[in-house]
Amino acid sequence: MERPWIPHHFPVSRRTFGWWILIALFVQGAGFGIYRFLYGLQASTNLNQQFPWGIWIIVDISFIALAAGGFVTAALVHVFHRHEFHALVRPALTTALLGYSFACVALAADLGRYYNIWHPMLPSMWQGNSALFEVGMCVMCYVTVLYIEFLPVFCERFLTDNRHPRLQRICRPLYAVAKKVMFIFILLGVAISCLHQSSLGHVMVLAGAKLHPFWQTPVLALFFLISAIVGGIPTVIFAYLTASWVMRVPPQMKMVAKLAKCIPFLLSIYLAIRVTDLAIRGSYLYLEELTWQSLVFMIELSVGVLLPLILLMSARLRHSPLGLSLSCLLVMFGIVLYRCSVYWLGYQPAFAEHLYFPSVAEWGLSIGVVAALLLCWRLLAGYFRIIELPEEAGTT
Amino acid sequence: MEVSRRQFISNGVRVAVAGSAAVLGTDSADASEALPGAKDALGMLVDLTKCIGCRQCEAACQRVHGFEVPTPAELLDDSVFQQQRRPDPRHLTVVNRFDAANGEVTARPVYAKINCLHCQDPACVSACLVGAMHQGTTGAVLYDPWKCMGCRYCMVACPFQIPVYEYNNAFTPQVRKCQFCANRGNPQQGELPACMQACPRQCLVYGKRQDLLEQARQRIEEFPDTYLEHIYGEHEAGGTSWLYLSSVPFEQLGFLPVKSASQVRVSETIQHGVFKYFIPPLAWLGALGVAMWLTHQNPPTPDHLDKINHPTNQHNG
Ligand code: SF4
Ligand code: SF4
Repeated sequence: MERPWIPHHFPVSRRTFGWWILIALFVQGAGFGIYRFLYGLQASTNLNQQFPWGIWIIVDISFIALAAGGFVTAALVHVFHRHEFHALVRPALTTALLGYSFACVALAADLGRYYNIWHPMLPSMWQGNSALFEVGMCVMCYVTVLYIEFLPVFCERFLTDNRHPRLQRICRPLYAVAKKVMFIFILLGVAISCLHQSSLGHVMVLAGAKLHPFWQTPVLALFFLISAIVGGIPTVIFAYLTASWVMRVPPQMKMVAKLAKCIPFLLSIYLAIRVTDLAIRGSYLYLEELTWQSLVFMIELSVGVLLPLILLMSARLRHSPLGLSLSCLLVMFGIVLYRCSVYWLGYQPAFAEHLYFPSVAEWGLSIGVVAALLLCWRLLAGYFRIIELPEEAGTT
Repeated sequence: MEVSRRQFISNGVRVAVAGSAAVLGTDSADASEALPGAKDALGMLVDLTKCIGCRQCEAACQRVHGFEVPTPAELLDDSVFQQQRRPDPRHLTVVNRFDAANGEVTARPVYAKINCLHCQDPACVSACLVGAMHQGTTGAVLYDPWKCMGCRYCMVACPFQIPVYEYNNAFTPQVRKCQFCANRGNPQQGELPACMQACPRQCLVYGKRQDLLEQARQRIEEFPDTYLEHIYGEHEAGGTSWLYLSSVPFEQLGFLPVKSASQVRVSETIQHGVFKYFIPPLAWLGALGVAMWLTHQNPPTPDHLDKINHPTNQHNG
């Protein structure tokens, strides 16, 4: 019980094959990043006048759906005080922190005038009618809140390590203050990310007829919010199980299985409102024709929603690490496909000669960003107390 | 008789407007003053039945923007019409040729000039998060590259698929579109749109949108055999400053069938509903706070945070 935190419990020096692959992916991504900033968007992307938004935006939108696990678990554990899940809070927080940070990197690569990225901060330029303005403001606020939420983890690390007396002196009061006021930031974080997720959907309302009727609906904001919650929990579980597997810590299967119980419930709500929306707007008529949009739509709802819904109703599967991981992965696939449809696959502008498909550099940079995220996750997990040790779990 | 009468009207409007058009050159700074559908918005009436496809308007536009100007020989070469062109970063307005109407080859081809229509309730302006796209006092939709972040949301938003991006510019790319010549620095030329001044057939008439609408209706009434009963831009996307008359259905001339209600109203109504006086977000925050307080009775976190409340005890040595 009184066992202090041992720094470097998961030493990063234990370099594996996977580690080096991630490094390689990161390096190639960085190379494409440099290429983009030197030679511009024309040279590096397949964007054109009809498709102004490409995979770098899509990566953002998808990352952020998955990073939603951060606010969902924060709400669950800290707002609704379901402490049995507290082992998930830190992995989820780390995922959200890195997800948002790297989404900003991908965004900066996409902006034509990236050096003006700070303009939404200037009140003289505020344009409150723009959904993207809301997105920008929420991202800025939420990233700040996430870093503040990470502060106790950071302080704790140095409070238990006597080799850094000076850092310790700074961390002690910081930690005390942070603990007192943290509830404000937790509340703010949950509220802001709800607004943020919904505004991401609302962005595409303005695209009007350019978005296929399967997806264009005035309630896009609501769908994006719900999809974030639906996708957030499986991501947290998946991230937790994967991290435990990579770091060879036995996962607390009982706890995750209990959390996973709510996924089929959430999925059925999600499926119900998606189908209701389809029925109200009458766009199911488009399902009669076999276009690839209808194909994507069907795959999304069947493989990404219905299948995991059925799978996760089985208690046996929920208790198997592999089965649970895979079904969580299906949900994540469904949510990402939904967001890809809204921003890319379902976007059908007039005068487009063919559908946009990302270039090598666009794939390269995106993969590089994901690799960087995973590397940072691993580094943080090695340096801070993010994954709980099994004996600690026993004490709860 | 007919031609001279129209010339008279258009010349009259040119003179009448010259004074008020001076405003155009000076207003690029004040954004979004004009309400959607402002009464005194300035517009352009384009009569597609008169266009002969000489592309003088294109040449004039190129000239005033400092882009490559086609030579007279190039202007006569009609091979450009072999494909349908769209505005691009170096051609803010283009003329296309259509040889058939309603599936039949017409005696005389129809030409259609395309550029930004200067919506009265512009989606690009509603989209732009930093106000780089903005509406001048005369209804012209202007662009300020110094504010722009290059997010290209304006391109996603425009229902007419007009704004284009300088993808080939690595460091200072701009969104490009017609700015109704309100962006031009030259005071001698800056008063009237260059394309309209260049047109030898007076296809383009510049004036108050209200007057132009009336004029357009008059023409339709007077020559019902020539014109369709559809003024493109009267209602499309909530109304545009540019208005078009045609003898051939607009869908066949590369004009998009845009809904008459502006999507901006849908989008902004929802957004403002969610943020009304900031009450809904604050209420949400409050509700979360209440939930946090109510469930407080649950056993407190058996958090390892507590274990290091007195870290010095453990690490004194
Ligand atoms: S036509 Fe497009 S670019 Fe022009 S004002 Fe309307 S929305 Fe903006
Ligand atoms: S690209 Fe520039 S003008 Fe267009 S919406 Fe973004 S910031 Fe505004």
